Amino acid sequence: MAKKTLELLTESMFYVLMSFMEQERCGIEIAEFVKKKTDGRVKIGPGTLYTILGKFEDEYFITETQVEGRKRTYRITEKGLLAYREEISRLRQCIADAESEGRP
Amino acid sequence: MSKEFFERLPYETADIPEIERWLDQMALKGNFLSDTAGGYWYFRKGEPEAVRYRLDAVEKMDKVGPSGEKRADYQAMGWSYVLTHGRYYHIFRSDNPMSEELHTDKAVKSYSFRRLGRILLCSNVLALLVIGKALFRDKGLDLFRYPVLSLMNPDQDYWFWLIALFLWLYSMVLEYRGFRRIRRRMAEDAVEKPSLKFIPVWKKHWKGYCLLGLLLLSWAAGYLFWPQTKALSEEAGIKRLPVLEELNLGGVGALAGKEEENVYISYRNLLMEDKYEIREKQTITGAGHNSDVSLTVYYYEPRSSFLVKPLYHDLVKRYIGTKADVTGSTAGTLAGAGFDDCAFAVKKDRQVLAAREGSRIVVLEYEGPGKLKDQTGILLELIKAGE
Repeated sequence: MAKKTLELLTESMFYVLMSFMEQERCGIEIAEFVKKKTDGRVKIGPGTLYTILGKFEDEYFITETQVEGRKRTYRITEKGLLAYREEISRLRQCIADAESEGRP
Repeated sequence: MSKEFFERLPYETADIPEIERWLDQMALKGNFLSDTAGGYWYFRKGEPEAVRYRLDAVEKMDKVGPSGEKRADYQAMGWSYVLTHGRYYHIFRSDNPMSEELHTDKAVKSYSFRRLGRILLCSNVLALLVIGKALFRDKGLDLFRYPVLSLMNPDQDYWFWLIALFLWLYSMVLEYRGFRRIRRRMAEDAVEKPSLKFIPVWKKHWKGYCLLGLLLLSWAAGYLFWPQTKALSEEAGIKRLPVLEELNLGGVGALAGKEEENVYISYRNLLMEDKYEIREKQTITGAGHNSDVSLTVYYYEPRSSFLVKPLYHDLVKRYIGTKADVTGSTAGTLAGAGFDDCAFAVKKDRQVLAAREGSRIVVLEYEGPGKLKDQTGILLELIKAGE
């Protein structure tokens, strides 16, 4: 079920968390960061972006730092950082497992 | 000024992928969504265009639509806000084929609609509770307390609403399960149907509509069994009935202005050989003074003998109760009684007597100075006289 799927970070969610590593960002900056970082491979539509931001805020992975007119800026929290690091380890483990099986 | 018209939404409110496809198809025909009102969706005529419409879940209750920030960001990414449909979703459109999809992550899209499922479930449960409360307010749980009596003495409206309530509950379960399937399909990014042909709601649920039609028909047919009311004096002139005059509770005189309230009501019932009710209000003269008295008689004669005893027990439970002063639960216990079963109770000023003789059951509710339980012999004679 979809809810269970989101117990793990999806690729879009992972990149959204990654976008906060260097600086605080607002919604549109996050979408631009992801597109640039992945050379357009991963695209984030506005619906997906806002759902992810809402979920991350609810789970306290990110927090709002500034509201400037209609623009809201967010930063990552300790909990968000932990989730991001755990996902990196998981991905590393996946790669290690694949490499141990030899290249196809 | 462009022409506006409406179309009935051909899908269920929660069928997000189908609605999106339908709106895209409408735009290709030059029909652009302008408003929605429940199941009626309004379109404005224009030049056919490849426009994408996408539904975005309402995350928090917001009557004025999405926030300004959200609208601005969506606009910057190529999606303009059209409208918000109820509490369910915002609808955005994109005229630019190069702009990204509104939702690029199917799992996230599916997750975003989780609240819609809850809204659907909660609104249905709330409506069911309101109707259920209204339905059970007067009749309570009679169906469970007196099952045989409820079956043999059916209240047409009560049964109609009870069955309708269960049908609604069933459709609610189906709708919720359907919505979960849609979310799963969204999350798994299942292969979309190649054709834009849609199955209208009425075709999808034809069995349910047939069932509803049958229910309405049976409800209408219930009027064929509508009870017939006659003046009591008219019927008492034809056959002997357990009326005040016959019961010998005192000299009976008419109560001024209440003559019309003395009625004999006969019920047509497939399970009953005979079923009637007598309501009587008179004056009784005796011991040098007049008293107003009232008598209500319920008479049942089931066609099938195996229903007699359970019906009698339900009637005793219903009219005499278990905590009341019940005396003489077996034949012969009451003075002069020769009934197969007989029960008697006094509740404040009201005397209640239930008696069974063979397949005939009679319940009397009496308010007056006379002693009802002393008249069981006459009552037995009256019942036997009707054979």
